[in-house]
Amino acid sequence: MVNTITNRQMFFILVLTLSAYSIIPLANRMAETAGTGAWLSLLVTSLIFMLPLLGIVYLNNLFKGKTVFDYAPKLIGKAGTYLISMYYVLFFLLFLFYLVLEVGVVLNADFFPETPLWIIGFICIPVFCYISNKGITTVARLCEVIGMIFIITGILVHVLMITQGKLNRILPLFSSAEIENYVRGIKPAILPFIPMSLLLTIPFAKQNGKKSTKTAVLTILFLVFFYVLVVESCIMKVGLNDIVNYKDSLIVAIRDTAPTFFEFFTRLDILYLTVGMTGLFMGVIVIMTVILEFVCRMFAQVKRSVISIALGVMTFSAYLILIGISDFDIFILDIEPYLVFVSAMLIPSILLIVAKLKKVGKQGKRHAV
Amino acid sequence: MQSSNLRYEKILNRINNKSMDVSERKLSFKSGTISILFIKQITDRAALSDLVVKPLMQHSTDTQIKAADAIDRIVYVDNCMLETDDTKIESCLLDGYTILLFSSDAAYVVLDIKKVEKRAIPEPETMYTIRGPKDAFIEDLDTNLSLVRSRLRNESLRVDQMEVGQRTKTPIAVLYFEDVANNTCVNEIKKRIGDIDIDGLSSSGELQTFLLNRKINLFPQMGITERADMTCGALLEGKVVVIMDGSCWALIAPKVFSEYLWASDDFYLNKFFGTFLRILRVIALNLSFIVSSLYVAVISFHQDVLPSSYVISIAQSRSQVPFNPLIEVILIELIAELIRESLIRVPTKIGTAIGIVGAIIIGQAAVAAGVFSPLLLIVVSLSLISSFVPADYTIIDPFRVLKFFLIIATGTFGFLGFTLVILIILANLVSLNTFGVPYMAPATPFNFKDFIKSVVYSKRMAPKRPAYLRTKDKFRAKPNIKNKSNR
Amino acid sequence: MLFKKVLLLIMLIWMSICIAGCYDSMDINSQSLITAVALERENDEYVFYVELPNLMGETGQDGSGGGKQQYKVVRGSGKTLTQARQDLNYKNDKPLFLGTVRVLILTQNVAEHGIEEYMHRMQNDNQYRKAVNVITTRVNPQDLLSATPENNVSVGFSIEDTLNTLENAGQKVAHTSSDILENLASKTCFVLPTFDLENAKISCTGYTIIHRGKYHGFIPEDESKGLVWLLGDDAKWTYVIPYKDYEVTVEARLISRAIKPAYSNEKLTLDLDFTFDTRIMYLSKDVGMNDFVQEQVNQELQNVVLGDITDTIKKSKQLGCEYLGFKDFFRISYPDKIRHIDWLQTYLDSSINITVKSKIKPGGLANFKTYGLQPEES
Repeated sequence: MVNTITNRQMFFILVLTLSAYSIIPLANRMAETAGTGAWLSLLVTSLIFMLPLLGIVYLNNLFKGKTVFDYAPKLIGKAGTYLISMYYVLFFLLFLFYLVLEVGVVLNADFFPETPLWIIGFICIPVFCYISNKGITTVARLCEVIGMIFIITGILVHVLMITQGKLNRILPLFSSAEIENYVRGIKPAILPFIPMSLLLTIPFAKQNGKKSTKTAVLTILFLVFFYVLVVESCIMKVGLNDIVNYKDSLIVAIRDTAPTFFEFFTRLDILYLTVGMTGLFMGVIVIMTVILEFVCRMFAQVKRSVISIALGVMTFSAYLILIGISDFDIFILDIEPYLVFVSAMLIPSILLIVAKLKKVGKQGKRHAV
Repeated sequence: MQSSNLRYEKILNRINNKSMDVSERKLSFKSGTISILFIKQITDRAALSDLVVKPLMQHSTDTQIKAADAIDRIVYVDNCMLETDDTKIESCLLDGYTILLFSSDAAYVVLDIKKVEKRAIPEPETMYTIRGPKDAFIEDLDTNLSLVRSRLRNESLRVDQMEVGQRTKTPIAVLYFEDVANNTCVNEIKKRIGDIDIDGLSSSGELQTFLLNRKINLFPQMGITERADMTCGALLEGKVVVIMDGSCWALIAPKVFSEYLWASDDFYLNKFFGTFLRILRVIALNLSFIVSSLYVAVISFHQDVLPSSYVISIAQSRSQVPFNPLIEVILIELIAELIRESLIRVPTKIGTAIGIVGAIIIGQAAVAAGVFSPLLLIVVSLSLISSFVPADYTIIDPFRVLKFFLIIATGTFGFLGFTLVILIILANLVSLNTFGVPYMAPATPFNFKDFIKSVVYSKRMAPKRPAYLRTKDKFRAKPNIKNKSNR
Repeated sequence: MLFKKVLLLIMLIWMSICIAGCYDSMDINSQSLITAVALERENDEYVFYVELPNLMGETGQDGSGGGKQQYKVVRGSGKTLTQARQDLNYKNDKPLFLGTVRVLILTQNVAEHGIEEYMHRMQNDNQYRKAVNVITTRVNPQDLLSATPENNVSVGFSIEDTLNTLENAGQKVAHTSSDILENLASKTCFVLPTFDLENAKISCTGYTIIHRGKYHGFIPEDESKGLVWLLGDDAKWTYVIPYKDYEVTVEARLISRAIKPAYSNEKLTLDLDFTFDTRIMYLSKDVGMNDFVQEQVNQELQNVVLGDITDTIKKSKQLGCEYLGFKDFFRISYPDKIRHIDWLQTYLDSSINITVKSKIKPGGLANFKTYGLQPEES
């Protein structure tokens, strides 16, 4: 049985993967570059990425129940398929290493200062491997459950932050003199969209139909709303000039919020410690599952659990090495636009164009109906 | 004739040699002898005398009596069969049938005048209801089936009789509505029952282990019920029910996680109150599982998630306690589990005393001695009471075990350990399937209508059966058809 | 089969390593919970005073509730903040826990020396909540922390409750450490409430002005009405307006505060519009009141409020410091210009137009128009 996902699951997978970690440093990065016009930079970036997402969704709809590994040979041949698969594996591996490292650093810096970094990786990575080994269906269902709670809690917390914050800190919303800054703000806003191309490895269920396009659009719109909410609420709470001093601006802002009307819930950390962390881990698990799916297809004769363990060992080894490298995150942020361009725009565009030229689309459309 | 005699003697010798505790009543006639074979402990002796011996004796001894004649004209028993296969005699006797063996006929008669001692229909012991019917199953299969049949008078109700156990030959009935239940589920269950190769089963719990996907199952994937109305409700939903002779618990499949939090009273009470109770049960289940771990996490790791005044107050109340929170919680949870288990096993009269002693020793003395903090006692009591709230106790059992893992993980790594264990458990829950139905349906894969119906339930508002059951007939009642009262 | 055994062994080793952890585990009773931190500068040394609850002894020796002092004050000093903190650590049997700190008290000496260093120290300490209230004091912190508040036994909680009371009364102008960090980062002048001891009781005596991270001046409490109108949220104040031979007590509540900067030809003009709702609470004499009298009282109130606001603005100009929040409004209106001008000088040279409008709303004893003698005016 092929593991497929429904539209709803696609929405939650995208939301969790694209936002769970990236919202932590998003506010300070946007404040540094775009200032009070961060919302505009986020909006423009999201709209830019809507097109490639629609392209990927269209491809998936054209070849329902299949991943890129299954339909790419028909389009670009086996060699081409291996080439792009290797690219995606390396791309997602790099992103996975970055994500795991950043998760470990965030947990160590903000919540567990005495716990050695390697221990955090040591206990988290096997759990991630175990869950991703269960397959895309399990991970998708898990995203459905956790995603809902994550979104509701996230919106609640950020609305509370807005009520406690100062409106002046996010004004002026737009100034023609700052347009250059708004454009500069597009680059840091790309970070949340790095793993967008993971959809290429997740087959769509046959009953998804044309609603998947609508779901993709709604996902991007929701993400825009969510990112803007996060960034603006953090700036309102902490302040534009001070927020740039924190790497984990979201957590600082949450800890700064103390709604006094809830006697018991004057501290919102507990919501982040439970729900936020769960969402964070789900983002990593999805990436790991995607890599696992790719590698399992490439090495079909090897047992899935063996590949999963190998991936876990590789991730942990990379984690230990990268702990000692101080500027790895800067390196990633520097090359991310190029990586995203290739993975989310170039390759899907090539596949789409070839599909159209080879008129696979017509047959594909007949099957889709 | 001679060969019949020889055969007759041979059979009698065979049975006598086996020491099966078979009783024999011989009746002589002109044409030969009739032996009435039966096991007296499981035969209705009064019926035997009135319906078999008496009419045989009253029958004329001059004529030859054949087995067919006995069925057609002589014996008064309603359920009798003509058999010719001699090898089945022992199994019929062991099943409680009475055998009429004819010296002058190769055939023999099998009479159903079984009488097994059974208790009267009791009230449900563990699934108590306020407004619902108060009859529960007993160990006799026929009685249980009668309770079901008296409620479901539809020709599409199927009762497939099967047998398991080489030595026990326990009768099992598989019930379902042929035009409603999913065929895959029905066939799968029947196949799995057919594949059971064991010497005997003594309860439906043992049967359940054979019917599930894996050898090791922490979470229950089949429902159990001792109530006839719940059984009928499950059948009407399109589920398959398995009732076993010798067990007062029926098995229901498939059953998803959310259904374990339903109680029959939800259906009989006002729907808003039913909704309130369902939500309360969900909260109770979560509380029973996580509240002790939250205590450990907050006291040991993340004190600053509480307001300062609470932190100081808690610190003051724990100032005399020598243990660290992890040890404290594990100790008291163990004690709570010991009390819970002992209360099940102990006779009722002593049980009350144990409850009082437990409360006094643990509640009062331990706090006064500074062994445990008062807040922890409240936390653990809350956890314990919450664990009794869900109607189907089988759903709590895995959480009782997993709770300790969660406590240890939280005590080691705080909310990080807590989150990781919760993730693992959730991952396992969502990956489970119960007879092809996702275990966490309708939460995931999400179906809005089914989800709402699982929270706010009213038969009037829900003409369709849950989509996740994939029943043949999706409608409980056809839309736009008014429900007429026929009686 | 072998694979499963190897996997089981790996899992066992993994779990053993994990359980050996508990790195961040710190029992609540293994820490000294701090409710207030005071920082003083004495003889070129930093001195910390921390208030700790005494968790072991709750009742007095005679068994009565409450008992003696349940909070103690510990002092630590050093040439640098780090040394002072270390000295404090040595004097406590348990590690200090800053997550329960309710208030940070900075003395005038520290403020004069500069508060930036300590605020940046707070910024990088995760235990310290950024929502901690920050106040200043002009008395010895040891005396302040040793005072016995009326309802609370902790000075930290007492000061926090006082600030909450002021907030409920619409008279709070206070900042958390997060706000101070933002002000320091944006080089904005700000005020902090000052708490001193008056007749051995802790009370708010005014506001300390902090400019470029250092003490710049003090505004006594009786001169702070204008400050509340300019900076407070949901500000309200009660005025006693003399009228003829009696007095009218009115409550003024700020409804809206509009600050519009206009910058042209390197000249700044600030238009301040205040709108109040006023409620007449009671009269000192049992006389009647009609619309005319009410209008007179209203007019007088507007004059009084205008005077308060004008005085506050004049004071800020005299002190050469803009702590009234105007910079923020200028930044909103002219985000490009704020980076290029000398804001302080621009403010000092600015002209300010203040408009105060108030309207009497019914409520309280507003119906006493029908009581008493008929007023003389019609």
